[in-house]
Amino acid sequence: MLKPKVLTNVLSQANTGGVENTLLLNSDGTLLAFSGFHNRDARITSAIASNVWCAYEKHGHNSFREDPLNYLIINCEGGNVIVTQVANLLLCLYATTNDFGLLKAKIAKLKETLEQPLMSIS
Amino acid sequence: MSDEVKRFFTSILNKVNGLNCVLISDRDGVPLLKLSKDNKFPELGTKQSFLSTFSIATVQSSKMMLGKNKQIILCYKSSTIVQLNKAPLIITFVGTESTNIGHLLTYANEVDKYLEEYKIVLEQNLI
Amino acid sequence: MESKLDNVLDSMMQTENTIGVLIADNQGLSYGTRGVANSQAGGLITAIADQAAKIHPNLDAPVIILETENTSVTISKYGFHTGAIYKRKSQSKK
Repeated sequence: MLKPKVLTNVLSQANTGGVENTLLLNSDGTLLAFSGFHNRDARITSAIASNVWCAYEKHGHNSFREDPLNYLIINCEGGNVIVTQVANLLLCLYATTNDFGLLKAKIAKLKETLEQPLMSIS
Repeated sequence: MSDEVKRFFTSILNKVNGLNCVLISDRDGVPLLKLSKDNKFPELGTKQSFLSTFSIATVQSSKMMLGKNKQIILCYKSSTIVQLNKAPLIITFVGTESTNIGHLLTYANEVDKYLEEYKIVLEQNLI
Repeated sequence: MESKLDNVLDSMMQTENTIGVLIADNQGLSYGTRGVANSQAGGLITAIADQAAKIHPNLDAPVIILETENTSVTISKYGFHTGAIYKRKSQSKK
């Protein structure tokens, strides 16, 4: 089974260099695991991130050929949120940095680490 | 539709590696200007239903306590789409998976001065 | 998670006359910056490197040096990554 403490530990590794929160959510937006500084905002962020992801993800399936959504970056005046899919869950980084390359690299690394263990429980 | 606006967006299309088309639409996804390098518009990213998805997404994203949403970047397996919030307009850029997103974003602030005439047209239509 | 990257950027800044560094991915999105370099510049730097590489497509990516009166920017592409170093021109050269 999945060890919650280990999972949070893995998520917390991304919380450096401008990344404030790392969230793992269900595709309906419920928060499964969280690591970061602003617990208060986490529920709102996760609900919105999953909503936006789902809206855009479905367009990738509507076309003639399948074109799955790999990453989604929401760029706001005060920071950024990057979302990707891991197994059937969503991984989400909440950051104040504008280094999108770093955010992409970080979320890709986390995805790679989490894919196998999460696949086995879902 | 002024040639100046067309010229500006065509120059972006030519300069940015991997970029294929640009669409200016209103918030319902009705296109006001469509430009493409090869006059082809891919299925993904250019349909009205896709364009209008941004309207809801940008309003929701502005409530994440990170301030107003500026843009959304989408990396699909074989295409990259960038949508800019220039309310009441939406600017959508569609390119290949290797589009130079960073280069494209440097133009995001320059876009504003070319949109005034579209905004005026929209406002007149609303009255 | 990115401590190695930070080390690389910091050690590049230690070099004499260096006033800024930037590393970006192949989509022009920056991994990190130091000094005067702005993460927004990642796109242009990658674009310049890609464009210059077209001159001799069969050779390795070139090193590009942009010179102004007081500073120079050295751009080089390595695989999927592009790096830029901003330098102040040393006084002795004048």
